[in-house]
Amino acid sequence: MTEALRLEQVAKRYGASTAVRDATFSVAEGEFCAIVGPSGCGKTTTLKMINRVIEPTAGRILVEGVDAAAIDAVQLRRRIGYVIQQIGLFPHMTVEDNVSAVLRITGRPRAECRQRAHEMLERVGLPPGEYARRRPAALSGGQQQRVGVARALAADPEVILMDEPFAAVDPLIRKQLQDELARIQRETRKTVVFVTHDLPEAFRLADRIVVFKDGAVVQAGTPEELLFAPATPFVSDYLAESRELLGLHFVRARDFGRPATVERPDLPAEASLLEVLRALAAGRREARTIALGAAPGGNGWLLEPADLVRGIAAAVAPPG
Amino acid sequence: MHYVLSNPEAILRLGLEHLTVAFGAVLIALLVGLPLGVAAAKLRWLELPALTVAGLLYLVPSLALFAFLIPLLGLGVRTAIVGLSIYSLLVIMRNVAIGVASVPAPILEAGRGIGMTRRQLFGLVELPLALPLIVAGLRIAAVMTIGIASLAAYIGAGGFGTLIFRGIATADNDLILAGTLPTAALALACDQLLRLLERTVRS
Ligand SMILES: Nc1ncnc2c1ncn2[C@@H]1O[C@H](COP(=O)(O)OP(=O)(O)OP(=O)(O)O)[C@@H](O)[C@H]1O
Ligand SMILES: [Mg+2]
Repeated sequence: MTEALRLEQVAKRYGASTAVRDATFSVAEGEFCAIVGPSGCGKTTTLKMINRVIEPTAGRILVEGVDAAAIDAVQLRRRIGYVIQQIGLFPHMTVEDNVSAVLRITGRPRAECRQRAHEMLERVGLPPGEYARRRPAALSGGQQQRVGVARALAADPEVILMDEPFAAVDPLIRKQLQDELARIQRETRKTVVFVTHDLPEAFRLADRIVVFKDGAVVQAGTPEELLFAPATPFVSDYLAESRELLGLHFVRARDFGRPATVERPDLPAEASLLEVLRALAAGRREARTIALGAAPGGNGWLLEPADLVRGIAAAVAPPG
Repeated sequence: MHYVLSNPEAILRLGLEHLTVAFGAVLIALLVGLPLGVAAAKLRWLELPALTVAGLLYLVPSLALFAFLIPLLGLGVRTAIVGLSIYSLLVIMRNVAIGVASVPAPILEAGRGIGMTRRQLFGLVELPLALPLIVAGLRIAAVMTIGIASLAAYIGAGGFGTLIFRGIATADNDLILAGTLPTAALALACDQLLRLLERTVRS
């Protein structure tokens, strides 16, 4: 796998305060990478340094193997799709013009821009016949966010950066947008870097998750690695105590496992996914497979790492 | 009203003179105020001095201003235009500065983030979003200038002020009215026209 992005000890300081201390991780081509971590840990700052909306104070960022600092910032940004949390649609332009703005600024012919905008709107589930000529103000929050995604896709960028794109929409619409984004990513095989607060969202979408704490990466790994091989207690606690995962208390773990004879159950048969997570955080496990059952040697369920990831991904984060 | 009705071609000629002076003044104010306003919005240190200077100039009585300018530009239309433009400058500059500065940060970031150059960001995002405020400033400036352009007659630049001054000199109320009413009508028409433009750029 070739690397689409590599961050090497990237840091950003504002005077005496440090927003990002050490961002070091890489993202493979076509990979969906989620950046998670507590509020203020430097996720947004890191993302914005990738397309040089913020200039790093130290470190190196390689985009497709080339030092981003050596690329003209405007040219760099045109190769990278960008969806910001506040959506940032241009209120005075139609939906169509918003989407095709990324092409028009590179001087592509009007007809091509238009056609491309319509394709992208189609792709994000907004029939152009109905929506192309509207102004952003005439769309719902979820629809605006779709336009934001369409705009990021329009120039066919190699990499797409997204900063909590779905944080402001309600859970039901969010789930729908996530599913669509997952489908689009499957279809287009774009490299995506996606900042989120919402762990179920990260588990649902990401191939790799980068966990930040106090401006530095504490772990970058697959969801399974985070669960079964947390780099520090912070990672396991962050997973087990995350507010977004509290809903897992009501989800039976065994519903995601497969029935089997269990020699030594790790947890009772009725254990919830939250209990499984907390047991992992507490380190009460030997193998990567988790056994659920009432008694040794009896009937029970086996939960593979992938099953657990699936279970977490299915959780619906509580609103707000 | 008698004079107005019996001298339509004189009214028309004075109206054109009046408009020339007012339009020229606002145009100059726009040409100077637009870049200055943009600069004031972009460069924080410039904002206060620029607005202060424009504000002080605004306070100079127009007759005194004309008196200063006559040695430089002579009697006539040029002095009137330049002198009156000083008054529009403050309004236009301030509205441009506020308009440009009030474009929401996320929208600017989105523009930058998708790869707009500075120039594209200004032309495609900042200017169009500031336009309603700029046109509003233009409207206020134009209406105000049409009013004070009556003074232009005093320094030989013509316009409806000619009738007013002549009316004052000969104690002829009909003549004073003949200068005043068309001035007000012109100001109102201009106001309506620019309101219309304002509404078009807003939608
Ligand atoms: N322009 C700035 N000047 C000074 N400090 C800043 C600036 N921007 C961000 N910071 C600080 O840097 C830290 C990281 O900010 P950042 O926005 O990257 O966090 P985040 O992880 O995205 O948080 P959240 O999840 O709340 O969005 C914060 O403590 C923030 O206060
Ligand atoms: Mg953030």
